[in-house]
Amino acid sequence: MGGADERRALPGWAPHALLGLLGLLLVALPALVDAFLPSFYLPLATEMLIFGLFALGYDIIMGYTGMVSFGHAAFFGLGAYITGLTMVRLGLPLLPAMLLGALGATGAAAVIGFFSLRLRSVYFALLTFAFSQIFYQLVITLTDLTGGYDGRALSVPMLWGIPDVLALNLRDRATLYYFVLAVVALTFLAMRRAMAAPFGQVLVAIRENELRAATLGYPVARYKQVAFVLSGLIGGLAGSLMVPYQRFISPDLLYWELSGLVIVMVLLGGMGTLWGPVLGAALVVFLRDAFSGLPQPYGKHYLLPVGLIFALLVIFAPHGLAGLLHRRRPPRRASGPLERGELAMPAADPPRG
Amino acid sequence: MEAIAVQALQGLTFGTTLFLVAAGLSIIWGLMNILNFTHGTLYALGAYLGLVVFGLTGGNFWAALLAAFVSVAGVGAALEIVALRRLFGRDPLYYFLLTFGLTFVLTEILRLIWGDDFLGLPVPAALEGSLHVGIIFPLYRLFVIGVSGAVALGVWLLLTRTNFGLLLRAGTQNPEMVSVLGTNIQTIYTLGFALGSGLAGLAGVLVAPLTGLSPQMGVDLLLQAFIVVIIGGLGSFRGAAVASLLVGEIYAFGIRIAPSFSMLLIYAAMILVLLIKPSGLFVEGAGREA
Repeated sequence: MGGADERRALPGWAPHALLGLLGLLLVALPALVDAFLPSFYLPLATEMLIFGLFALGYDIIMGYTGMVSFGHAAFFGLGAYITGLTMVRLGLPLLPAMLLGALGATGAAAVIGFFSLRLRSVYFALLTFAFSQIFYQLVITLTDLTGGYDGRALSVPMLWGIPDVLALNLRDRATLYYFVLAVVALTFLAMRRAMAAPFGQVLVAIRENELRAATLGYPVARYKQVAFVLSGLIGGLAGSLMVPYQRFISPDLLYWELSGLVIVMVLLGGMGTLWGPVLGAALVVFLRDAFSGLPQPYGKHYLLPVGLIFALLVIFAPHGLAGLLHRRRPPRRASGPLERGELAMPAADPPRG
Repeated sequence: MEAIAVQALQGLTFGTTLFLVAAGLSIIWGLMNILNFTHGTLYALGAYLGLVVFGLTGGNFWAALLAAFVSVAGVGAALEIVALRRLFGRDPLYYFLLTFGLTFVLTEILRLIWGDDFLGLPVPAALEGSLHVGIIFPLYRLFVIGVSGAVALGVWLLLTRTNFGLLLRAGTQNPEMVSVLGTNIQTIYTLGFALGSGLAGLAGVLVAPLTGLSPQMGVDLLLQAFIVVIIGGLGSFRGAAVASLLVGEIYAFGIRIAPSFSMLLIYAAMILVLLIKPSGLFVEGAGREA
């Protein structure tokens, strides 16, 4: 959606003001829910934030670097499973377990990225998909460890195991909400910083014209790998938050459906903006919840409107996708075929695969 | 020995039906560069429509097969005309994403109409029972192998011996030239998409008596069909045939030895093929490597 350019059209302080306002709203949310809304809206908001974090991490590779992975649920699920299982098996408190979960997802992303990034387009998507299915298959196979299809219930975690020091009661909805909000907000601010920094700008350059970025001397492959691993790290972190949130881990958390859903979230909210995907995630979670309130034959079918909106977006808002996926956006200041990406691309679209 | 023969026949049953699904996927990819995510749902749709026709005609299985093929082909053509055509000329990823979104929509429609519970399609009365020739093997499974084989042969003849097949293959290789020579390539695309979809629908009816019907029945099969076309090569009919039979047999024997690990093995095979020769074993060229 060319977020950077649209933002420039507004006065310079506008995004900061908006962000500040949104931050205030998020901080005040528990009080607002207490005053005006049924109490289950707070866990719902918590879930929106968790999936928002997942989508935000995915935006780094899809929105900024222009790569579509179809296996990101693997990182989300690994984060959740490693966190949950190290708590059950090793008796770790939540924070170190979450750290291990995020690190495990990071390691997996490093390996998957190393292999998958050799390919592009549909082939890259399929390879990431195949890898994520391997993790899914492992989880449902290693029943003794993971609980298989049934998943595993977990007890309410202690934050870090030292009594009386920051011993948050995560059973309390508001406390959990603030804990999740803190993780999401910190990650968001860090990523906003990173995407505005030269690192993020190089990613955008790769998205817009990979050959050009390479010609300018940037180690494109290494940047892509770092972006992919970073995205996996954030996905794992988001997944690890599912442990205190639903106190239950199940194979759904790394099922391919979630890999697709995160693409929907990112597209829905707007790629390459970081906050857009968070909004998109909130919208998807909201739709699911709104539908579950309908009389039962219709209650389970939130994916119907989600799929429809998504399909319409892909067809009618190609500029949300164009250029971000494959540099087909009409050039703004391009002068030669190299700058338009024409020389870079002919090999990528032969008449047949 | 008998157990091995039975297992090999089981694998053949699965492999031949898998081929019908994978062949459709492969034709559509070869022709239009569409990796059709809805393919599994079209397979499920075929099974449900077959169930309806089976009931309406008082148990006429042939009618169910034919109706599923024709109506799912129709749905496929409609999808192509209404949605996919609008993405013409863009990166294949867009098609993948669009068909992924449409899969949600179609699956939810199936769930709305037929619910989430497993439904059964009875084995046709004439095909009940088993064959006893040294081994004992259900008659219906032999029927599935026979019909799938015959349809596969028919499609192969269609592709290689008819004018339509010629145009289809020409469109796969050089759509611009087909247009220049005066054939409406758009019509070829629609018909090709319809043919591929119809094959999925037909396979759905064939498999339904063996597995039962559920809205998600297409998902697992789609994953397996993806694996088949990747190993065999996206767009290659021959590759899809060999890879289907291979995957079918690996499943059949793997299920006896270690079910889940045989799945892992197949995913690993897919990754290996993607890494070494992403265009697949039976397709010329190196694919879209970075």
